[in-house]
Amino acid sequence: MSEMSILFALVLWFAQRRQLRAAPIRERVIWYAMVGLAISFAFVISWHLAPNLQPLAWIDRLFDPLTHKLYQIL
Amino acid sequence: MQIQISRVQLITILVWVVLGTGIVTIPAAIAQFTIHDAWMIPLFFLFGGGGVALVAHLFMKTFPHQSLAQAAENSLGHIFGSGLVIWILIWLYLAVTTIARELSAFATTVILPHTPEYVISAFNLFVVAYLVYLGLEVIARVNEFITPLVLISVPILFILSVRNFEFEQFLPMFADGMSPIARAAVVQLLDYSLEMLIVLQIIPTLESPQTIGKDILIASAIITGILSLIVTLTVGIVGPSTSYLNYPVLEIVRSIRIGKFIERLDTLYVMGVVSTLILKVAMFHYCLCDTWKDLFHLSSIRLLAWSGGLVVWTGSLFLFGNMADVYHFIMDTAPIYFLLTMVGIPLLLIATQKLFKK
Repeated sequence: MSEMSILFALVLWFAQRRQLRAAPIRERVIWYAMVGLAISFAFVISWHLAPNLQPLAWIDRLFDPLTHKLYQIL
Repeated sequence: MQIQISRVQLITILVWVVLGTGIVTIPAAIAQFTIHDAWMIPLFFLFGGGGVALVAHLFMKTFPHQSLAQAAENSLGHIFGSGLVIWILIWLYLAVTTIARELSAFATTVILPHTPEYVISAFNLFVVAYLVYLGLEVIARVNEFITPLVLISVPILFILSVRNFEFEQFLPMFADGMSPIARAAVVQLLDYSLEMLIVLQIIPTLESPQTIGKDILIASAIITGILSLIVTLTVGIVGPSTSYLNYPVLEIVRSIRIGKFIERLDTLYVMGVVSTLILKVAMFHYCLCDTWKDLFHLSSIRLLAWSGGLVVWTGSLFLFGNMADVYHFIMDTAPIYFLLTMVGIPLLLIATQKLFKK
C-alpha cells in the first residue's frame, strides 16, 4: 500500500503541478501536508504499526462511557 | 457562478446521506437488540428528523446565508471559532473515513473478495475525489439521476421477495418490554438522523435556505418509509439470523428465484448500494473540504478534493483496522459524539449569538 500511495502522490503532483504553482503559499502548504499525512498513514499500515497506535483510543475514552450509560438508562 | 441547490436536489441529497449506509447497516444494527419488534424501530427516525429540522431551522434563522464553519468564526471570534471548526473537521474526517471503510468492505465482500481492500478503496475514493473536484452541483445532479433508478429497481426487488415473508417472525410483540426497542432506536436517532445536519455547511449554496426545516422533514418522512419497508421485509424473511449477518438485505435479494430464468438479482441491489454509498462519501468529503476551505480562507476546494481524497483513502484503513472497529465506532462511540458535535455546536452558536447580539 505504501508504494501505491507514493505512486498516487506523484501522479497527483504531476497532474496538479500548474495549479500548485499558481496557488498561494497557504494552499500549497496544506496540499503537501495532506499528501505527507496520507503517505505516512500508508506506511504505518504497511508496517503493521496501526494496531499498536490505536488512533481512536482518545475518542473512545471520551464517548464510550457516556454511550454505555445511555444504553444502561434505556 | 454561485452554486444553487434546488429543494428537490437537497431532499435527494438528504435521503442518500442517510440511506447510503443506512440501507446496509440499520437492519443488522436493530437486530442486535430486537427481532420481533424491529418493524417499529424505523418509525423513531421521524423524531430524529424532527429534531434535526428544528436545529437546522433555528440555525438558518440565526445565521442566514452562513455555513457552520463561517458561523462559528463570526459568533465566537477567530480563536474559539477556529477551535470549534477544527473539532467539526475531526468529526467530518472520522465520519467520511467510516463511510469510506463501509463502502470498501461492502464492495470487497460482495463483488471482489480476492482483491485487496485498499485497491478497491482507492478506486472508490478516485470517483469520490473527482465528484468533489467537479463541485456540489455535480454531486446534486448525480443524486437526482440515481434516485429514480434506485426508487424503481429497489421496490421491484422487494415485491419479488415478498413470497418468502413470514408474519410469525414478528410474534410475540413487546415480549421483552420497551427497553430493547428504545436501545435499538439509539443508533438511527443519534447517528443516522444527525448526519443530515451536514447540510448546515452548504446553506450558502441553497436556492431556498428558508425552507431547510421543511425539506429535512420531507426527507425524514421518505427515509422513514423506506427504512420501515426494508427492516420489516428483512426480519420477515431472514428472521432471527438478521443479527448474525453483515448484509441481511443482500440475503433477501439473493433469495429471489422465479422460474428458471429470474435469479441473481443481487447484482442490481449491489449496483444501487455502491452508487448511493459513493454519493454519500462524496457529500461528506465535499463538506470536509468546504470546512477546510472556510477554516484556512482558501480560494477553492479543487486542490483539496484530490489531496483530501488521498488522506481519506489511507485514513479509512489506518483508523479502522477491520469492520469490528467500524461497528464499535457506530454503536458505542458515535451516538453521544454525534449528538454533542452536530447538535451541541449549532445550539451553542445560536445561544451565543442570541445572548451577545448587539
